[in-house]
Amino acid sequence: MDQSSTAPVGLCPDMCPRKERQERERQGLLHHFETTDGQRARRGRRGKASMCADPAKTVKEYSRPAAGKELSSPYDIRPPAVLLKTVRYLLMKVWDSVNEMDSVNLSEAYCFVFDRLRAVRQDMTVQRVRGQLGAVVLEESLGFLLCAPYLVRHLPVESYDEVLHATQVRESFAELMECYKEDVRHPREAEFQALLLLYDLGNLDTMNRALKLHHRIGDAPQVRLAMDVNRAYLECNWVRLFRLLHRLDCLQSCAFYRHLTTCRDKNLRMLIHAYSSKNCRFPLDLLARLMAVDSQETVAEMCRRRGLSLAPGGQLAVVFLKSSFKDVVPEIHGREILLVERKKREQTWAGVMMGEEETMPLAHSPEELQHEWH
Amino acid sequence: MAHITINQYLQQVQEAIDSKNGYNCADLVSFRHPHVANARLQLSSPEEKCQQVLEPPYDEMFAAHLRCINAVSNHDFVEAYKYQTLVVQSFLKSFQAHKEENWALPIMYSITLDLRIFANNADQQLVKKGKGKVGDMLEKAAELLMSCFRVCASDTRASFEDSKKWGMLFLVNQLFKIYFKISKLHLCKPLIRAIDSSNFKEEYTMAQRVTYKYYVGRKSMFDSDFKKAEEYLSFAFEHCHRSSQKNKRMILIYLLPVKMLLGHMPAIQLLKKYDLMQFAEVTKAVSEGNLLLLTEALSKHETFFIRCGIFLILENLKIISYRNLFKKVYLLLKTHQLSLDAFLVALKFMEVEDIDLAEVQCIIANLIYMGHIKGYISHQHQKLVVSKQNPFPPLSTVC
Repeated sequence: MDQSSTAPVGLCPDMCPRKERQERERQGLLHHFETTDGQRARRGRRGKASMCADPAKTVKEYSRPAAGKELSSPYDIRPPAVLLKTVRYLLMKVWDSVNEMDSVNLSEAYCFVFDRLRAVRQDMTVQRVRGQLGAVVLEESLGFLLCAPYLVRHLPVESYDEVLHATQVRESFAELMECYKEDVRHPREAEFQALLLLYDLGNLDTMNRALKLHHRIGDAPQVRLAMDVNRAYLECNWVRLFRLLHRLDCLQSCAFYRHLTTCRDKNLRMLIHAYSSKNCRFPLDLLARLMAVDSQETVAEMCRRRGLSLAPGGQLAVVFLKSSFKDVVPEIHGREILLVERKKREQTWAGVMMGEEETMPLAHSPEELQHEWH
Repeated sequence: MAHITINQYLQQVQEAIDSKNGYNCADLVSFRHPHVANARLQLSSPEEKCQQVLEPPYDEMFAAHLRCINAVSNHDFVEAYKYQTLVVQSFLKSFQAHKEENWALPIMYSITLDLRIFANNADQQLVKKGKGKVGDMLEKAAELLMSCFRVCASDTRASFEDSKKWGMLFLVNQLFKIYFKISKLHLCKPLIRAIDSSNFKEEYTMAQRVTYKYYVGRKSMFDSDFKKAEEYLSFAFEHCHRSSQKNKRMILIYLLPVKMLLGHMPAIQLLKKYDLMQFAEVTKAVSEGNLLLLTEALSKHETFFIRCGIFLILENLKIISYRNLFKKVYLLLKTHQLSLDAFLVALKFMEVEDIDLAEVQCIIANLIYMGHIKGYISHQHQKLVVSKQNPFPPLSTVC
């Protein structure tokens, strides 16, 4: 009955077990990120693939645990140190070489890294890895999992499955929180508690748990900021919410990114009802600033989609009228220069994912916020 | 009764099973029955005795029960939990085979209740010893309860009276207790769906229905569905047995914040009666629109509110307080075109820090959107224009 004593200990020294590497080489199932010189699968005349696996580049694939499948041998499981090496390889070597403008390349890299990270977590689960090393593996994997949705937002569902991705994020967070419950100090705990709060915006359960954190963590600036964002959301204080978003760093902004269009939709809906009057105008540039939208055209389009018309005259302004309001689904996620990309600054995406640079978040957006209402 | 021999005990068990007397049988396997204190039943290896008297799988079930008694008397709840698991598993074997009869339901109630209690105790013992994390055992217990639930829920062929479906609500309530304890609220959803779609809904015992409404009410509160939370928690409060003051108090802890958010302030007598004076100042602050007092009242009882998981809900009473404060501003200025500055001044007076006109506008806009204020904001004139009639509708009519 008691299984707690039988967790296997991995002995595989490489990112990919030798057995799997040879098998996939034979069956032509290598990814071109894994071959010598990045060969693509070319099938020879007899249907045989002619690819060579590069042991320094081949990474263990995710395979669904199935009933009846024999238990993997310790030589097929990677110990924590090798798992960490694997995550770092995936981020710093594979992801860092991606051209984000090339969507074929991006899609291939995303699928590859996502799948291999899933296998990393599987090895962790099998061995019940916890402790500091376990936490670092999860933290760095989460760096990727939190940033990627921004970068691959426009990929089709065959490449980027939002639901599957979100499941991985949730499960990784759950395991990370288990690591944090142990009696060891984790240098990045406050950072990741804050990221969880931002990712889980408005979730009272998550917030309640954050209130019960040790004050060393709960009072850390990142956690306070993330809690303030959540409070602003609960109170529907959108002005405060978007101001606070300017203070998030790049990784935090990516964690929040999935809530952005909903927040803007709710904000706009509220404004349309509260400023509803035929004779009143609301300036578009102010509206764009309030919701941290990059351009006035975007914000004008948001208004038009909701049945509002722009006022004639010099300054671009919109007429808020609740009688002409059309209930539409929020916009699809798009590019965010102000709220995401500008915060990356000189860093590479891999750097953001690894949390390399201790960035000092900008206190305010350059357009100083004080004057926004006049 | 107290000092019967093992043979007598097993005889009683056999009779209860033969006559399909679920209640007697449930007593004989329950830890709320005096036989568990009978020293003569504490055998180190009861299997043989049980096999002589009882048919499988009951021999296995009662042998495990007797071993469990032993473990509990040694205060070893990890062992007790292990044997209680066996009790439930053996029971399920026979229960599953019962066709068109549900006499054994009381047995299931009794053993699953003990299972949850032992899992809880085992968890605490393991954590004390530094083995395992909080909730490990409870989580396993929940899995077993789910197996019971599946047996009950899939009993579609039996007639209404004989259906095992009667057991569903009891199990759901036990599962709720576990999921709330280990913070896995998302697992409640399919259970709620199963109960809400069952045609037994109104027929379960009132005690079970009260428990169910209490947990679903709390869950709705976490989902910010305050209307539903109010409905469910009110039902629980009104129908909870009057002798269960402690339970009524627990229901109130969640019902009060929800009622307040919807604009109903509790009477001080009610708070006194249930020893919930922690809410008194909060109530006062909100009614007066006194944000300063609200902040103070919340931080004064912060620990209590956080422990109950209602701190954040109470913080959101700010919205109602803004409404009450702004109504005062309106009454004071006696005009329908109110300068936005006036509201900023009022908030500053309440020592609401780092707030500016932009946020004030947002707060007012939200109040209009929610229906707390009838009117509109003019951006050009920086004014709130309120309706000539009833610009601040009574709170309880709004939400």
